[in-house]
Amino acid sequence: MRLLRLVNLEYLVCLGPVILIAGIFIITPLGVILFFSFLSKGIFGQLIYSFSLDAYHTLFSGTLFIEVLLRSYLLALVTTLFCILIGYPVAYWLSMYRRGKIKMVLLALIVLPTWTSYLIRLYSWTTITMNTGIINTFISKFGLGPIQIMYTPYAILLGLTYTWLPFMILPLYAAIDGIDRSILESALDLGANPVERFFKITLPLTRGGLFAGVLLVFVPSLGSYLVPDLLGGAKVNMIGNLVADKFLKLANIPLGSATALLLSLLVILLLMIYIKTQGKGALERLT
Amino acid sequence: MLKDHEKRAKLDGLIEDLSTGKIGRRNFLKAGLALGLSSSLLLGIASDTRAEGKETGVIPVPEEVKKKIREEGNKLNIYNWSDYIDPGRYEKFGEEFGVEVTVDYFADAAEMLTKFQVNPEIGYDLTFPPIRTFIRMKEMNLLQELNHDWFPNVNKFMPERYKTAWYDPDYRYSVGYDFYTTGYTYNKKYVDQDDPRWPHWDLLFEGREYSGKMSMLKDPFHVVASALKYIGASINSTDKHELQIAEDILLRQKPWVPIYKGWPRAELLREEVVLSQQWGGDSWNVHSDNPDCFYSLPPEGAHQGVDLISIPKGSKHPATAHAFLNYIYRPKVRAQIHGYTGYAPTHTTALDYMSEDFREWFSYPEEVLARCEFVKVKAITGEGLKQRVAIWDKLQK
Repeated sequence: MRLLRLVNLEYLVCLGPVILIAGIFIITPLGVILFFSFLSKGIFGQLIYSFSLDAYHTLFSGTLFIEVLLRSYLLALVTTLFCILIGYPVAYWLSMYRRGKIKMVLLALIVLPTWTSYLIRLYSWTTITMNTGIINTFISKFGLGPIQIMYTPYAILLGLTYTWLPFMILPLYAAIDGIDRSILESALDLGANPVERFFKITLPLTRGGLFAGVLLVFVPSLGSYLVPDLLGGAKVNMIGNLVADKFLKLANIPLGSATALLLSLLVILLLMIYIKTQGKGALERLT
Repeated sequence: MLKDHEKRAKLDGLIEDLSTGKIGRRNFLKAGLALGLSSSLLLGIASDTRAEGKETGVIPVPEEVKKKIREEGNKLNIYNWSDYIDPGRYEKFGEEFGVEVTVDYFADAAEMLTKFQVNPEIGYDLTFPPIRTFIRMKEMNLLQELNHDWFPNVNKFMPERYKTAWYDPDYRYSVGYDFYTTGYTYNKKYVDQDDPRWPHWDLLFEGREYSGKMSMLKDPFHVVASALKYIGASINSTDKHELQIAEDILLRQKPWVPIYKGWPRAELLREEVVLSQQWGGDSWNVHSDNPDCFYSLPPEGAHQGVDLISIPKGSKHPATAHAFLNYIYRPKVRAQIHGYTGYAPTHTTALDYMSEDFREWFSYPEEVLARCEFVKVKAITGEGLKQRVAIWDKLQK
């Protein structure tokens, strides 16, 4: 009995702050959004404090929400693919072929840009990609262009891939670096060629890191607001922009809340699928 | 040794004397230094008071208000657009009236509205709604009634058309701040002025050759309003047929428009965009940085708007807020404010103190102005709103 009480107290002391922080910063705001999403609005936009499904009804009555949602998923998916295609070779090369100081410097170079404001880095991309920007000025010297990059879905992909790439490289690097080299050696000794060795040994062993990277890239890409706003001309909308639009342009609090809530639910769903497929400790391995 | 508030009172008296010419600058400095105040502070006040204080015909706030300012605790909380008043202006007001001014900023009228809607008792003393937001706030009972006895300058200098405007007859809940029309900015280097489509809306809605180089406002109401004016309808139309045509026009234009943005300043300066639906004041600001950019107010008419100043319901310092309104209705103060923001003041004489260029920019021909419309309730509520949102949704896909 006594022991049990001690354990409970220990739990409380250890988990208390975490529960408190999660409660204040995650559960409460979600609760507020949930509350507002079930209200309706009056003729002048005033909130009517009685239960209503108006917002959800509006959301699903048109095709806008579904279209924007599918587009967001597609953009986030392609971004994740690009990040894997670029990130895996970089992480592999860093871990396998670089040693000592140079490795540290290269790793620092990957992390360093994330210390600068995200907004400033995106603005510099507009300077690079716009019609009178660096790329187009350069190719115009050869009589080419201008290529319209800004305000297209490609600009959004570029911006998202650029922004989230470090979050793919780092977990992959950690995973690849953690492989016991003797396993790789024995694979070669037993006659596997480098391609077989990669697909049979390296890839399965780094699956955790890969999943972590996918999650760290896919989730923020899905909810991205700034990249489509700045590089997409506020036109090629993603779901984050739709939420902002409902709040800021239409001043429709219930509708904005319902949209935001559905986005949150979809992200939570992704996390649950991840935990289901990767086991209970999966989220801990992310950090 | 004098206490702080006694010093303050003495200084107030001195400023009053200086501004009315009872004492000279030298004597003001002497007397101020005797109070133990720093000379730089005094010089600052003296030069400001000289620049603005001796304004002719300005009426100070009544003594009653001054007393109330003290009772209210010498504080003023303002919720304003960023860059809508030169930050130094708050300080000058604060120094003159001994008030500590706190300013919060919003980037979007809906953001401001949402804040008041969620918490009507939030303690801001002044805010700056455009007409559309003002109507909503008034209807939602989020505003305080104004006391006309407390701001003589407003009564004296606010033009008649804003005192009797339909959205707030007798200015019970709002005073005017600035005035603008919503036309478009064009770059002279790229747009030929012999083109018969200029300066009409036709340039925006038929100018296929400017594809990829034009922008529209990121605002359902304004985008639809421009298309409605183009077909000769009212910006407030709720006619299904007219709105259907407007929708078709906007959808035809959509592929030419790479960007919907409220303030495409950078794009216009870099000449990524050479045609841009824009508010008159923003156009002036762009022109100041890129002299090739000019404003067109289409002769067939456009939207005209006023941004207003109101006292929210939760205000704890209404007298101080009135004093501020009275202060910014001084002609020279007002001229300086609008020289900074680039928008035309709703003021009978402030424009006289502004540059020739500025005055010209905002002097619209009477007959065109007569075809410009204020927003009406039917366009922003009920069916009118629904139809506009539906068009906007299609433009966003």
